[in-house]
Formats: sequence, structure tokens, C-alpha cells
Amino acid sequence: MTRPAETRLRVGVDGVRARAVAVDGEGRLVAVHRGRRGDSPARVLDALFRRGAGTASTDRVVAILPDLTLAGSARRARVGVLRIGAPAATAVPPLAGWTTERASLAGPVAMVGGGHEYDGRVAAPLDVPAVAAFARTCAGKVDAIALTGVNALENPEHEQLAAAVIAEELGPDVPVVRGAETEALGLLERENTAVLDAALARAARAHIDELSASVRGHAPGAALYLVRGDGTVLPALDGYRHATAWRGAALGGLLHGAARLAGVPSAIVVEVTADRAVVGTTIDGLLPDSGLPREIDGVRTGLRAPRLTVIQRRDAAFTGRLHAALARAGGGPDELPVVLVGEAPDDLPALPGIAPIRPEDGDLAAAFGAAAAEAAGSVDRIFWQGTGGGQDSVTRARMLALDAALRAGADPRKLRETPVREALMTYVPVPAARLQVTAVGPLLELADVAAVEP
Amino acid sequence: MERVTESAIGDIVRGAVHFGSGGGGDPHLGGQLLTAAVRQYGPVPLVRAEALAPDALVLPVVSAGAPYALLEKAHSVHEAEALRAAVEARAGRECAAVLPVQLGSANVAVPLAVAARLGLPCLDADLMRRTLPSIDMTLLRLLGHPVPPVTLVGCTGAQVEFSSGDSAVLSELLRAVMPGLGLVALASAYGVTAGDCARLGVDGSISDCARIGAALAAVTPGSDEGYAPFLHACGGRMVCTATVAELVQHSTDGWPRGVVSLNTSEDFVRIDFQNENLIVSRSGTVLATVPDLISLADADTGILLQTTDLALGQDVHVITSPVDERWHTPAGLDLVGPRAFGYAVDPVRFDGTATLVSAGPR
Amino acid sequence: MASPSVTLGQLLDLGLLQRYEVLGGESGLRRPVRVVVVGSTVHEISELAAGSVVVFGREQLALDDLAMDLAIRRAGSAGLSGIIAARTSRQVPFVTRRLADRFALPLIGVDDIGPAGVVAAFDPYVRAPEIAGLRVLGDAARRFQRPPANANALTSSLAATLGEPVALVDAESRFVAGDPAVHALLGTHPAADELGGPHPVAVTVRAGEADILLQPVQVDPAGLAVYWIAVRLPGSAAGVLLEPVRQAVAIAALSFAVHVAGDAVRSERENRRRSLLLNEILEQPGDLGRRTAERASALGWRLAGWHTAVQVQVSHAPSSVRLSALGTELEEHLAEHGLSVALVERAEGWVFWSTTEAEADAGDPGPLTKRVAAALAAAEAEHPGLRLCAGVGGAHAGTAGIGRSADQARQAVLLARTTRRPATVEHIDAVSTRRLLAGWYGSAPLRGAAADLLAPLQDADPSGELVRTLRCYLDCQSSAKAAATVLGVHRNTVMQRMERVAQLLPADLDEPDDRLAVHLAARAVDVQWDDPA
Repeated sequence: MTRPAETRLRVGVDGVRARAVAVDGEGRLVAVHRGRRGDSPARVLDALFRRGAGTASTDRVVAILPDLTLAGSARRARVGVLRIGAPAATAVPPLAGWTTERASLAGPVAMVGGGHEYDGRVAAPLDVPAVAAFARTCAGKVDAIALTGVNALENPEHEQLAAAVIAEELGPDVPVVRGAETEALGLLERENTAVLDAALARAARAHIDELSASVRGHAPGAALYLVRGDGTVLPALDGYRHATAWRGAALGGLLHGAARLAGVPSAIVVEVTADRAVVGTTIDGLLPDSGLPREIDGVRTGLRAPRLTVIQRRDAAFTGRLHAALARAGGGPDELPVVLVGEAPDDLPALPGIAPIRPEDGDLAAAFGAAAAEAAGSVDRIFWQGTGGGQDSVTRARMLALDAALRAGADPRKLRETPVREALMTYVPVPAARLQVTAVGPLLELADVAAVEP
Repeated sequence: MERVTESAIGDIVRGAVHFGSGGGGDPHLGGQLLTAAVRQYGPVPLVRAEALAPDALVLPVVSAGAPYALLEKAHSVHEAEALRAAVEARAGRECAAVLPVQLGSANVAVPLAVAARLGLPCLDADLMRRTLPSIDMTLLRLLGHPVPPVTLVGCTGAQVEFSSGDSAVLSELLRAVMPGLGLVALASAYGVTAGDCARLGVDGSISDCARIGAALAAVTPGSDEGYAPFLHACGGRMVCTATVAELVQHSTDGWPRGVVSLNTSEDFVRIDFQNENLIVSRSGTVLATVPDLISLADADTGILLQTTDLALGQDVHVITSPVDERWHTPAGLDLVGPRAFGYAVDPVRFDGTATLVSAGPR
Repeated sequence: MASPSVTLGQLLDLGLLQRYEVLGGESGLRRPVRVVVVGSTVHEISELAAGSVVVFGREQLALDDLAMDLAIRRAGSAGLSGIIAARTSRQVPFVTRRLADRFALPLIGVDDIGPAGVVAAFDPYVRAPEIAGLRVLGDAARRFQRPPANANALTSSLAATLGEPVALVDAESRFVAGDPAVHALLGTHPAADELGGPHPVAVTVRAGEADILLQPVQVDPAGLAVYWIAVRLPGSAAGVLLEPVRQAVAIAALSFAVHVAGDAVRSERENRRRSLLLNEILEQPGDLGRRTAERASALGWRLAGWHTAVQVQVSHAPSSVRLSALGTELEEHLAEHGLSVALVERAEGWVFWSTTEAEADAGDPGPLTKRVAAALAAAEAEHPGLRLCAGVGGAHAGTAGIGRSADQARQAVLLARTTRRPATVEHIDAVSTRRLLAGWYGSAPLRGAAADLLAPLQDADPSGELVRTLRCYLDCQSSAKAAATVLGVHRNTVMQRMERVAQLLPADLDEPDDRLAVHLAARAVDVQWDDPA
């Protein structure tokens, strides 16, 4: 069955600021709920649906969930940590540099033989008996498993095989998070991300299940997505195993949503609240990278950190700093409009030389950004350019990014791509390069698919 | 500084990035690697060359891997033993200490971790006083000391040794075997005694890293004045604050060459780099060149950056600082001056002054 | 300036380098170039004379090399006019391009040509910039030695000579041939509305970002322009190069005028041939000589069968319309509407006829009438202010039938003229009353009486306003309201005028006979009649 486009509604939930909106196919606000800070995302969603916001015609719910932290999470899980790649990389065992307190969440830790080389060939055969033995030591002692293979982005075979062996031993109730599920350069970066995700898996499940129950109760036909830290979507099922991926969603969703509310594709966005101003930039649906790694609870992860400036309003030099941040955020070749949103955009002193757009309902920017969120896929890894030359690997990187965006739910006909960033291998002059590329685009409309099928 | 404890590791690897001049690898991995070793084997004792018997054999250690490859596949625990065994077997005697070959975040952490693992002290010294891309670019070689024998140990136990040869040939050979070793290997070169090191007078390398690293940690980002502790510690100066506008790289003869275009509020600053930053120029005027150090600090955090990891639109400070005076001699410039890296410009010191002795055409 | 000089922009526009790219310093392309030299080292740049352009080969200086920044700086301070260097697949750094911008020093990347080759190509034009002009002039003289065969040949030849897009437009600024973009650009300029004016001369106008040179094409040197050549001037067409470009365009205009004049003579001769032949046919339909019949069939005229003649007339033509060319245009429009016919010029317009085998086929004149009307409307649309009308005769058999149908067509066209609507076509058979009226209108004494009847109105109001109001009022069955709508005036105005008319007219409009006579007179009064034979 297909519904006419005009009746399709997307619901965006800002679980941090307790706002929810329903938006129609033309991007108009159809229903709004403003709750109290502290209301759970499910409660905010329930309230919106109770306003009768066309529950039957809602085909998508996209939610911003609060960041989960090890410290703040009562329900964090004990994690079994497996590294595949010995004897390589054994000089830096898993959790090597974690503080003792953080490392205490680990259950059994093991490094087993296996892994691949930079070009995908097998470095050592996977030690399957050792994997099985590791799984048995974990039985009953852990709530989740994190496993990471050397060069597994290039060849995930050993990771997948090990995950299957572990699932066989421990059953389906113990989530297994694989490092290569996070597209990031660096074994430790992926491993740390996997360990954090595994540790947060229980808490993530609780949050998502609560929300999902609300969706099922009110709009059983609707698909549930979460917002990632970069403001694009994460299918809810993937969210169980990737709580770190939605860190920072409250700002990521806000940046895109503010630009959309203002009706511009790219903007410098300032969110003003009672105690601070945050300046960020959104360019055609993507957040520019800060170039710095992201740490969570003092642990280096494989997540990317968008470029943001936070200025405390009690800072004596507030106006000056805000001006400097705006000037730098607009440092590119194009003049970007400035969009003011947040709880208190009107408190801001006048900014000479800047005529900001102040969209109506600026406090709904993040919820609106969630409702309209796009799907993205990124590639960031080393490509061996051997005989095929650089162009082959560039093509491959682009295809991989497109595939990843499709897996996240993007419509293949509407994808946009960033230029491929190429960084050559230093110190060892071999034909290999780190390639980074992102594809992003609107979500595939199920009704559209139905419409094109005979 | 007498020993490297876990609490000192952060400062040491952070300070070592300064000597990387935009290269040498991100400090995170080195920090993790050294932390793992120190937690397992205890603090690493540092020694001065003079404190050892002059004829005591030392073990020069360098991580011969591409930083990106190392991020994926760090060293194995077995490499340290294998390397020592190979060097001792050839020399016919035991090593008394580990000697870092160069200063850079990976190449300070790796020798210290190797020392921890082998139960040896580490010399508070190194052979380059900065990061340079080739194992033959050392102050030792400047004194005429031969580079071979060179030993490489891969993580799966493979060993390669070049016992003699011209340095250009050696470099070619080393490059040729790296893919086979998975782009990562632990290496040693030069037959060196503690007496050689004492004569070279390269004391305090690790201590310098710790001192500069501590000063970097004391930086208050947000203003030029905030960098005073660091600039004081390294003797450098801040050239400008700028935004990354473009980063291009190409490789013609296998070696990557790149240019970073930076936008300042008034004009454009260009950084020519290969493995490290080599030349900084402003509107066609050279401001500083290799062998002096050219660093980029993230304007938001004060962290020193790897040039290949720069993001477009990122705001950075360009900081130049001096390096060991011996690199500014004619022989030193012949080996590591701008012309040695293929740039037809005269060397310029970190403070913009011409180097005392001009390098002749090669 | 002591001597005329050429700029780097002009040199590049000459097309001497196959592939090049302006990488930076574009604003410096207007600097004069004194000399072009091969560069050997960056250092020697400082010793070069101001106004030099230095060319580096791949071996001497790479575009992405740091030394290029030094070169730009030195060249900037030495007052050089540009640096040319070999392009590679490698990207030229942003800083280098922007540095060239800052010094306004053109930085040109070239492919596949050594420095000596660049110098050899540019040198003659730098030493004697006027030869670049001579080259253009010589080329124009050679290409336009013979008049171009048509408008397309003119525009393509001239564009090739100048290396710039060219369009040909008519005196009403309509696109005729060439590059539509130039025509569109011209359309943005007010000068486009004045092309039909007297005393046309060549002018350069600024349209948007471009300079457009407008050159009239005049068949009669003292007359109006029949066409205009529009050329988008290259940036290089300045200083010493502007005059040769102007002259080249003038040569092309002269040459094309010869073509247009020749065309006009040819079509006039052809027209004369056709009218003479038709006269013979009409005068002696029963006794055609063998030669006459042969000539007729050579023209594709069929003498047997059933003929339906059409006469076309101009009711009103603005001065800008060339009546001599209108016949050909009409033929084109008729052909576009499915009537492939040869018009025969007559004193009162043009005549053509269609021929069918049987009377039945010629019976329904509807489709023919519609096609003619559509063709006339199309012709009118092209010339604002032009009014055409046509009459269609009945179908008549045999050679004599041509004349008979043509007579009827002429009567019908008189009727058509009286309606004063655009593109009116009347058929003689359509309404018998019209035929009646046509007979009446055709009678000179009656028309004289009509003129007398309306004379008081003409005397009181030479503008004709009263007569037009009267005619319209009667056409509208004496409804002042309807007449006001048609005339576009207020109802009271119509009433006032009609009161005035009633006072002046020697007839009573309330009397049916008087009213009919006045109505006929009003409809006949403005038409220029020529008495039927």
C-alpha cells in the first residue's frame, strides 16, 4: 500500500531538550510537543502522539538520545575483549593505556593468532580453538563481547569468523561488537570504540527498547532511527551495538535542523542557552571535521569530532570570543549565513556586521533536524594502490562510501559525495594512501519504492 | 631525569611530537605502547653515556614503519628480543643499553618500551635530535660513522640484515623489504658504543622531550601569549595563526611531496612537506627551512598536529624552533638542508635569519 | 604610451597556444607586453625588463614548486607582465594561485609546447602588434573576397576570422543567423530597439559583461540598414587591435550587402518574369502560344483543372518593412502552412492559385482560407505594425478560370480590407451579401456619393475620429456601449461624438435608408480603391 506523499509524517524527537515535532512531506511542522527537561525521549514521543499527530500516517521516527557514559551508566556491562592479530600488535595489548578504573569493566581479555596485512592478505591463520576457548572463559562472566582484528577494515573475514564462533558458544543474548563496524583508521581506535559500545550495550538496549515500545504503540508502521553524532541517521537496530555512535547527536541534529529551519543548505549555527553559546557549521548536510580525534571518558575512539566552539556566557570576553568563533567558522571561501537558535537566542547582544537569521521555533531545531535527518556513509582507511594505481582505489573508496550510505538507509538516486581526501603514506614510500570520503543523502522513501515497482 | 615512570609518559610523547616537525606519528599509539610496557615491567631507567663503560655496546632502536601502517599493526612483543639477539650475535657481546635513533612520538616511545621489555636502561640521548626520514641522517654519520650494519625484525619473526653498503643503496633495499614485512618493523643500525655516544654529546634527549611536553601541557589555547611556556621551553617563535585552505600531496619518485596552503588574515602561508614539514614561506618569501623545526599547533587545543591529518578549515598556529647547531654546518646542510630534500632554496633559520654558512650547490 | 603594444590577454586570444589555463593573476592580463623571453633561473627574473613575459620549461621550474612562489614575487616586483610554465597532472597549490592574484601577475599553464615554441609564437606579435591586426584584416579580406552564400556563411566565416561569436540580426533586432547567445546579450541593451533608425553607423555598446560591436549592412549606402552584424568583442580588441577588428567586420558587412543586393535583383527579375507570364495568361486565356504554355509549366503552373485564386495585399506597413522582401517571406510562411506556391507580384499585391482536378475538390474553401489567414498572421507577428489581408476567389475551370478566380479574389480582398482586423481573409463565395457589397464598393460613382455624404465629418475632423466612431457605432447595431468597448473609450464619449455626427451629417440616422447609406459610406470611405477594369 502506498500513501499519498502529503499525508506522510516524520517525527523527530529531541530527547535531550524534551522536544518533539511531526513534519509533513513538504517539511512543514504539523505537530509540536514541548516537554520539560528531564522527560525521557519515550515520554516526549508519547506526548506528541497523544496530540493526535497523525499516528497512522507516521512512517518514520528519528530520535536524539542523550549521550551514554561509562560513569553515568548504572547498567554498564562487563565486556570480554578479543584481539585478533597475534603476534602483531602484541606490544600494545587491549586497554593498555586505559586507567585502571576504566579497565575494570573488562572481563577476560585475549589476543589470538590471526589478522591480515595492509593489502588484505592473511598475516596469520585465525586461531579458532583459541577463539572458542576465549568464548568459554567468557561464558556467564560477561554481558557483551568486543572483538577487533588487525587490518580488519581491509579484510573483515577473521572478525566475522570469530564473531560466529563466539555466538555459537555464548548464544544470541550476548551482543558481539566488531571493531570493523566502525570505519576508523587505527586498531586501538576501533578496539576502544568496540569495547565502549559493548560496555554500553545494555544501557543502549534499555533506551532504545523504551522508545521502540512507544513507536509500536502509536505508529506501528513507522521505522525507528537514532541520530548520530554527525546529525545523520543510525538504524535503531544498529544503535543497540553502537551507543558511542550517537554521542553528540543533540548538537549534530541541531546544526542541520537550524539550517533547515532557516531554509539554507549551509550555515554557521549558534545555539544560545542560559549559560553558553555553541558555534558550529553545517555544509550541505555534513559537519566539517575538527581534524582532532574524539575521546570518550578519557579513551581515544574512532569517532570523528565535528568542529564546534563552546563559549560560556559568564566569560567576561563572551562577545569578543563569539565574534572570533563566528569569523573562524565562516573561514571558507563562501559567505555563510548565521542562524541563531536555542532557548535564549534573543539574549544575545547585537553582533555588528552580522544579520543573523532567527527562525521561528528555534528551540525545535534539533527535533526538526532529527525529523529531516539524512543518511551518510564514510570511508577512512588505508588503500593499497599496488598495480591498479591511485584512481582504482579512489573509485573503490567512493563505492564503499556509497554502499555504507545505502546501508544506513539513503536513497541511491539522491546521494551527494565529498571530494576524496588522499593522504600518502609517509616514511615508507610504498603505493598506499589513506583515503577519506563521505556520501550523504535523504532516506529512501518506502512509498517511492512501492510507486516505482509495477 | 633518571627514569621514565608511567606518569612521565604523557609529557615525553607529547614533547617528542615537537621534534617530529609535523611528522613522526601521532603520540597516542606511542603513549599506549610505552604505558603497556611500563605497567608490565616497571619504570625505565635513563642513563648518561658517560656513566657506562666507554666500550659498552649499545642497541640503537628505531621503529621503521609508516605511521599509518603502525596505527593498524603495532609492534609485536617478540621483536625486541629478536633485535637484541641479532645485534648481539653479530657483535659477539651483550648490549648495555638501548639508544633511541631519533626523536619523534613513536621513536621515543618504542626504544623506551624495548628497554623496559629487555630489562635494559635507555640512554637519555638520540642520534638525530629531531625526526628525519632516513636512518642515515644522523649526527653520528655526520662524524663519518658508517650506517651499516642495518637489522630489521618483522613481527612474524622475519629478520633482514644489511651488513655493508652505500647509504643510498641501503635506503633502496630497506624500502624494498618493507612491504614484505607488512610495512612495520623494528630496526637497528650503526655499531655504537657508549663512548661514541659520549663523544657525540647528545645528552638529555628524553629529558628534553619531557620538559617540552610539560610546557606544551601548560599552554593556554586561545591567544598567542598562551603559548609562552612552550615557546620558552623550545626556544621557538610563533610565525602566524592561519586556517588550512588546501592540502595537496603527490608522489613522483615514491616519496610523497606535499604543500599546505594556509590563509592568514593578511596573506597566504605555504608549507612544503614530505614526511616532515620542510619549508615555511609567506607570499614567496622563505621564513624557515629544514633542518630547523616547523610545527603546526591546533588553535583550539594547542595540540601539535601531524601534517597529513590536517582538516580543511582547521585553525592552526605555525611555530618554528631551532635544532641542534651541528645540522647547520655545511656538511649538516648537505645531508639535511632544503636542497637535500630537492628544494632549490637556501636554508633559513627558524627566526628568519640566513644560516651562518651558505650551502653550496649540490 | 610611446608605441602601440599588445597585452598578454590579447596574445592568448590570438589562439597561438593550443591549450592553456590562466591559473592566477587574471587582472594582469591587460598589462602591456614588451618582450617574451625563455626563463632559465628564478634569480634572473629580477634582471628582466618591466613588461617582460617569462616562459619556463618543465625542467627549469615546475608550477607546484616552491620556487614558483619566489618567481611570482620577483616577477611582481620587477613589473613583469606574466609567467608561462608547463602544466603537469599535479595540482597547482592554492597559495601559488592566490599569490599571482595578489601581484596581478598572470600565471599561465601550457601543455605540450616548449618555452622556445611559446616565444617563437608570441614574438612577432609583441614586436609589431599591428601585424596581429593585419592578420585579422588579411583573413577578413580573403574570406570575404566573394560575398557569402547566405547569412550562415557570413556569421561562421566572420566568427572564424575574429575567433569570437557573431550574430546577424535584422533591423528589428530579430535573430537571423549565427550565435544566439550574442543576440540574447544584445537584447539586454537599449540600442537593440534603434537598429531600424535612419543613418545607421557602426557602434560599440556595453551589454552585460561584454562589449558588442554593431555593424550595419546597407544595400543602399544612404538608406536604412537591412541587417546588423553583432560581434562580441574579445577583451583583447582594445588599443592597437580594435581598429583591425572593426575594419574586418566592415569588410564582412560590405560583402554581405553585395550578396543581399544580388539576392534582391535576382528575386525582382524572377518576379517580373512571373507577372509578365500571368498577364499573358489572363489576357489571352483562349489562345496561349506554345512558348507561354511551356514557360507556365516550367514554373509548375497548371493551366487545366479547377483553379482557386488568392490575392494578398498590404493594408498597412511600417517604414521598416522592406516590401521587396515581403513576397519571399510570405512564400515561406505559406509554405510553412502547407501552401507551396509561387506568388506573382501584381500592382495591388500578390496573387497565387491552387489547382485541383475536379470541381468537388475545390468546393470547400475553408481549409485554404484558414491556412492563408495563419500564414498572414505569422508574417504580421514578425513585423509589428504590419497589416495584411487576402481575398479568395471561387473555383473556376480551365485557363480562363485562373483570371476569373483572380478577379473574384481581388473583389474579396477589397472586402477584407474594410474590416480592419489583423490577417483578414475573405472568400468571395462565403456570403452572397458580401458579393453584393463588393459590387457596390467597386462602383466609383457610388463611392463618390459616399464620400460626399461623409464630407462634413471629414472637414470637421480631419483625424477621422468621427468617421471611425460612426462606423463602429453602426457596426455595433447602434449600441454606444458596444462601440465604446471596441474603440476603447468611455460610453459617454461615443454618445457625445454621435451627437456631433448627427449634427454634421446631412442624413437622419433614425431613417433606415439613410442609416444604410451612411453605414456603407462609412465602410467604404478609407479604402484606397482602384477601379476594376
